[in-house]
Amino acid sequence: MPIARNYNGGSIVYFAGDKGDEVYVLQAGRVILISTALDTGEEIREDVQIGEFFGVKSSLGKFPREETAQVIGKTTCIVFKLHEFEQLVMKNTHLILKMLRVFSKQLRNIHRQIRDILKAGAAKDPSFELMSVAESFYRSGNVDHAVYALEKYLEVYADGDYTDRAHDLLSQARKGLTYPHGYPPLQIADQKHKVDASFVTRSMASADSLGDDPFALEEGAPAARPAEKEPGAADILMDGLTLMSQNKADAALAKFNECLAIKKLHTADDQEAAERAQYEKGRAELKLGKVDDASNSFSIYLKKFPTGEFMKHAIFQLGVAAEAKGNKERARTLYHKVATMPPPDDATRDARKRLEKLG
Amino acid sequence: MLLPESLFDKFGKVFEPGQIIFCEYEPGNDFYFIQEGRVKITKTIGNAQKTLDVLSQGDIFGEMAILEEEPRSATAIAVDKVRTLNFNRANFDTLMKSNPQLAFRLLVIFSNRINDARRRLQILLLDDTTSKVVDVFLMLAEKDAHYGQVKSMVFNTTVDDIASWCGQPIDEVQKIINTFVRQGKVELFADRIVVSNINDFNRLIQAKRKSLL
Repeated sequence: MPIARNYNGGSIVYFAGDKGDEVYVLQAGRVILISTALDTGEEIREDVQIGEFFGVKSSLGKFPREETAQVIGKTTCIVFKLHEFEQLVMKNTHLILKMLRVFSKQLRNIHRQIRDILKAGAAKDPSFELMSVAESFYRSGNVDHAVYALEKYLEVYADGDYTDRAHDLLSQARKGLTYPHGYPPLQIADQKHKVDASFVTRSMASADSLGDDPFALEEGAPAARPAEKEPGAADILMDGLTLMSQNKADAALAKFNECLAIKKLHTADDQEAAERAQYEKGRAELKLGKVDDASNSFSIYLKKFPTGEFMKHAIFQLGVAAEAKGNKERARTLYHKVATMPPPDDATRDARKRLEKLG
Repeated sequence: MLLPESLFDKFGKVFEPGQIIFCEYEPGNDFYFIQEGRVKITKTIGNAQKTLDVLSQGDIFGEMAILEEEPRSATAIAVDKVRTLNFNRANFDTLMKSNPQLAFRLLVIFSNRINDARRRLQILLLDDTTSKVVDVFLMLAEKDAHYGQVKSMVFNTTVDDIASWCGQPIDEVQKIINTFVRQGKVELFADRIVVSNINDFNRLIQAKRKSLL
């Protein structure tokens, strides 16, 4: 049977690095999850909502906890053993679907970060790569597999760069002939075709939509919001930005928080707005002298949108926050990171200036 | 775990021995559950095909494609006559609701995927190859139930695998492991690598991470 466990303020439910097979639900009180951003090393604090599960992934996967769970004030959690958790969610499949949705979003974010690190070396063109695989099958004498891959190529890239070549090789392979001796090696075509980024942008636009289908990504966000009268995230963000420009950081911050509290983001604009609001929240907090809050907001931005439009700016602002806390060494590291990150833009320039000033 | 045979009418797909199920870099948005038979997962490296894994009854493959609007990252080939259930985004919800065990299995798979990806990222973010190699061993150790209770640990892995985990050239990784062998930190066998004190490796990486912050 799951048990209710009471904690005193300040106690730790588990530490990052611990191994454990218990899953928790916050019933009453407050729990924060403290983790370290993998790339910036910044500490991230996130509140668990009442009724929300935590400690799920590490229990299911039997790997060390990723974060520390700390209690603030008197708190009660329901504690499930792994098999109890399994029984519970099996009877409530919608819970599993909800978690899959969250997990898939996290996974996508990490993959994006990995891709960013790896692609520094090689931006890959999937049509070229598919063609290479086909030819590799063919050259190693795997004619059936070569036929399959060449047919796929022609199906997917009907007017691709290597269509003629694919037709040519396919007709030979279908006749059962071996890879033609002395055939010119496959070469990457024109630069402008190099990366078809359209699917990346598409999935990025909808990465933070909170639809009910965990994998409803390919459709993207609907063009128009349903005919509701309440203002969307984009409208609230605009109000906030206006207030910021009038130096009313306090009122602006309220708007950004309001924007971030919206659960249903209907359009791509709303999703963009929510991303921007996370960044602007940090700026407003910085302006109000809430340096720790600001650092946390920028860290959350970087965690949620590792390749977001304001990624460089958020790192820069973390540097500003560190400087404000008197941590010059850390500020220098962060500015340096921004200054050396391509492409050069206003953040690069600002970071260089700050670096010069720090000496 | 086996899914009910009744699903086969609607979702069944059969592959003959040697038949390709999907090919690396082909777009895809469906995944497979193996009811019967074995499936080989391979990757093209130059002109050769390297086998990454052989899956059998109850295993799921291709599940990444339903998340990422991305081409397949490996090739899947039927080893025997293979009977699969093939699912896509359109039937995903219905399927999950009527098969909670499958939904739960996916949840476990994704938990592990997230951990693997996080660890991969952590390894890539280290700034020298020696640390990366050490961290790959730690990552492998963390998957082992004995980790934390024993000093010496055995890993069924090769230098090639370690190099591919840390995204570094094989010869460079080989050099580093040779140094470890000379220092008595590691024993190298054809099919396995033994680390004599995994706790030392852990301390090294903790210190390294701190210094990077």
